[in-house]
Amino acid sequence: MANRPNHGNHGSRPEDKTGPSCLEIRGLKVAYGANQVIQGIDLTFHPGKVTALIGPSGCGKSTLLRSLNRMNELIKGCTIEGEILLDGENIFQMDPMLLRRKVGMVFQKPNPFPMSIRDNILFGVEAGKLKVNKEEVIKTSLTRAAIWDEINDRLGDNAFRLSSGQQQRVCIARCLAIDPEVVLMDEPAASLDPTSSAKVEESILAMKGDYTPVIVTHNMQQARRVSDYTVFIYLGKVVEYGETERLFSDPQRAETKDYIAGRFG
Amino acid sequence: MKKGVLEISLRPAAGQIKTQDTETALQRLLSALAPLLSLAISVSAILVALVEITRNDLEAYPVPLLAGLCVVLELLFIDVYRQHSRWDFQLLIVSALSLVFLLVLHALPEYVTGLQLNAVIHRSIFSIIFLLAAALPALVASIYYLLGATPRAEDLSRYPLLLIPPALIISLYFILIWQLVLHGYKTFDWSILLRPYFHTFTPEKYYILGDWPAWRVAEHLSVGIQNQVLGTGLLILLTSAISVPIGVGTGLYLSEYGSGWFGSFIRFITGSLRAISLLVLALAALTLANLFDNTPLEGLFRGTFNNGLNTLSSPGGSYLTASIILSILVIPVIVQVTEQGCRSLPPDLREGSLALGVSEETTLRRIVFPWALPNIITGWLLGCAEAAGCMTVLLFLAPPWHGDNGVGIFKQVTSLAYLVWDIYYGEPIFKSYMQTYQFEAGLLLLLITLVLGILSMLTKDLLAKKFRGG
Repeated sequence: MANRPNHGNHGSRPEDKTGPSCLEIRGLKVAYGANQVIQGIDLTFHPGKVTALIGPSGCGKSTLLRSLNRMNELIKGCTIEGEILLDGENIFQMDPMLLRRKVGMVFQKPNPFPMSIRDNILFGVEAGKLKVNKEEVIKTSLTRAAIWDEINDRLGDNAFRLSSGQQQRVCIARCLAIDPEVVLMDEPAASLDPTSSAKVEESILAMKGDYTPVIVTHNMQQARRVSDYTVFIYLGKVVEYGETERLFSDPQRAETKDYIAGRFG
Repeated sequence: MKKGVLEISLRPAAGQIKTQDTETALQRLLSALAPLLSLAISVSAILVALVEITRNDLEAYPVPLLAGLCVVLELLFIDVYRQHSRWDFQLLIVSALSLVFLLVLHALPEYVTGLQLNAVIHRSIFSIIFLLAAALPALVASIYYLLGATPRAEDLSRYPLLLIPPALIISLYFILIWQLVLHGYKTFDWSILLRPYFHTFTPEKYYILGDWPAWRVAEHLSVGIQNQVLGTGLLILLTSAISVPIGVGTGLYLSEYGSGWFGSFIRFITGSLRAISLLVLALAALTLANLFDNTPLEGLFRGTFNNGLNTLSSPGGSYLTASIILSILVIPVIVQVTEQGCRSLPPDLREGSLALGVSEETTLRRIVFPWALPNIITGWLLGCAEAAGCMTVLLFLAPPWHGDNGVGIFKQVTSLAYLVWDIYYGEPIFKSYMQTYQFEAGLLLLLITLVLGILSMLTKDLLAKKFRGG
C-alpha cells in the first residue's frame, strides 16, 4: 500500500482510511421488467484482492457488476432488491455520483471521450472538482494502466486516434484517475488482441492491494491468471465462490466442473 | 465475340469451307459494328434530344436517328442470336418502338394544337420524348453487348441510367444559377451597395423672404440598396439570436428527456410549425406587429419609419417582429439537428462519463453537446440562409415607401429578398429606376446563401474533426 497514489481527501471519504474498501452484497435481486436476472446473491469481496466473475452468457454477471455502481438504474424498467454495503454503508442510500467516484468502471468496448488523452484522464477529476496535482495524477494513473511509456510524449493527441488496446488502457487510467476504491471491469480485454490483452492484465495485477478489482470475464485462463478469488455464477445465482486456484483445480459443484471443462457456456 | 466466331469456324462443314470463310468475315464485321453503331446512334440521339430542348430548328435529325436506331437494333438482335444463341426480344421491342415513333413523328404537324390541349406545342417536344425513350434502352443494351454480355457488363450498362437523376438536378441548378449570374453580372453596379437608400425627393429647408422657415421637397435621385443589404444581415443575426438558444435548448431537452408524451407533443408542435404556409406566417407577423398598439411596446414591434424629415406612422413591423416570425421557420430545423446530433452520440460515451461519477448536467455540457455541435452549426447556417431568403414573412411588415430610414432592431424592416419583390410589384417610380438592379439583388442573395452553405460544410468537417476525433 506504500505505492498508492495520494490524491488527498475525496468527498466523503474519511481521512484516516486509505486502504481498499470492503464490499458486501446481501440478498441482491435484480429484474428487468418481468425478467428476474439475479435471483438472490450474497457475496463479500475481499478487499485488495482481484475477484473474477465467470459464468455462461446471460447468467447475470454483467448485471451484478453494473449493480455495484448503480449503473443499472439508468436502464428503464430495472428493479433492484436487497442491499450492497460499501464499508458498511448501503450504496442505495448514497448519492450515486459519490458512489461512482468510489466504485469506478471499465467497459467492454473501449470508450474514450473524443478529446485529448490528457483531458480524458482529467475528465472525472475536473468534473468532480477534486483537489489534486493534475500532472501527478496523469502520470500515476497512466503508469498503473501500463501505457505511460507508450504515450507520455503525446498526451495532447486525440484519444480516438489510439489503437483500441491503447484506448482501453486510457479508459482504465481515466477510471483510476479519480482514485476509486473498487474497480469494476466488464470483460475489459474481450475486444482486444492478445498483446493488448496482456497489457490490460498487467494493469489489473498492478491494482492489487490498493484497489479491489472485480472482473467479469469469459476467458477462464485470464480469470486464472489475474484473479485471487473466483465467483461462478449460473442462472442468476452464485454456484461457487472461492480461491481461484482451488476453484479451478478442485471445483466442488458439478455445474462448475462442467463449465470449467467447457461442457457448456 | 471471338469465341462465337471460333466455334463457327471450327464447325466441321466438309466441302463448304469457302462459303464458311466468307460468312465468318461478314459475321465478324457485323459483330464488331452492330453494338458500336447502336452505341453511336443512341448517344447522338440523346445529345440531339438534349440540344433540342433549347431550340426548334433541329427538325432534320430525329427522323433519320430513329430510323437508324430501328435498323441497328435489328442488326444487333441478329448478331446477339448468332453469338449467344438467345432471342433478345427487348431489342426487337425497342426497334419496333422507334419505328412507331418515327411514323408518328412523320405524321405530326409542326405545331400540335386543338383537341383538349388548350396549348400550342412544337413538334420538337415529341421528338425529344421519342428520342430519349428509344435511345436510353438502346444505349444500355449496346453497352451491355459491347462489354461482352457478362454479369459485370450488366452492372456497368445500368450505370448511365443511375447517372441520369443527378445529372438532371445538377444541370438544372447550374442552368438557373448561370442565368441569374448572367443577368445580374451585366448590370452589376457596386455603387448602389454603397448608397444607403432609394429616394427621388429630399426635403430642404428654405426661408420665405428671410423670415418664415418652410420645407419643400427637391427632386434628387439617389439609388442605393445598402439598407436592404445591412437589413438582411441584421435579420440573420436577430433570427439566430432568437432561434439558436430556443432551438438548441429544445433539442437537448428532447434528446435527454423527450421519450414521453410531452416529448412527442413538442416534436409535433415544432414539426407542424415547420409546415405552416409562409403566407399564414406573414399574417401572424402582421398580428404581432399590431398586437401592442397603444401600449408602450408599440414602437418596438410596429417599428418606425423616418423619411429624413419626420417619422411616419405607417403600417408595418420592425426587424424584431420579422425575426420572431422567421424564428418559427428556423427553430424546427435547429431542434431537429440538435436532437439528431445528440442521439448520434454512442451510448458508451455517456455511460463512460456517468460511471466516472460525473453529473448528468456536466455530461450533457461536456460530452453530448460538443458531439452535437457540428450538426447544430450546420442546421443554424442553413436556417440563416432561410431567414435571409424569405420574403413572404416581410410582405405585410415592410413599409410601403422608400427613404432614409436606416437599419436598426426597432426600425421598420426590409431585406434583399423583399427588394426583389418590391422592384417587381412596388411603386411605379421605384420600379422604373430600380428594375435594372433586380437581378443584382437576386445575385447578392444567392451569394449569401452560397457562402452560408459552404461555411456550413466546412465548419461541419472542421468541428467533426475537433469534437468527434474523426
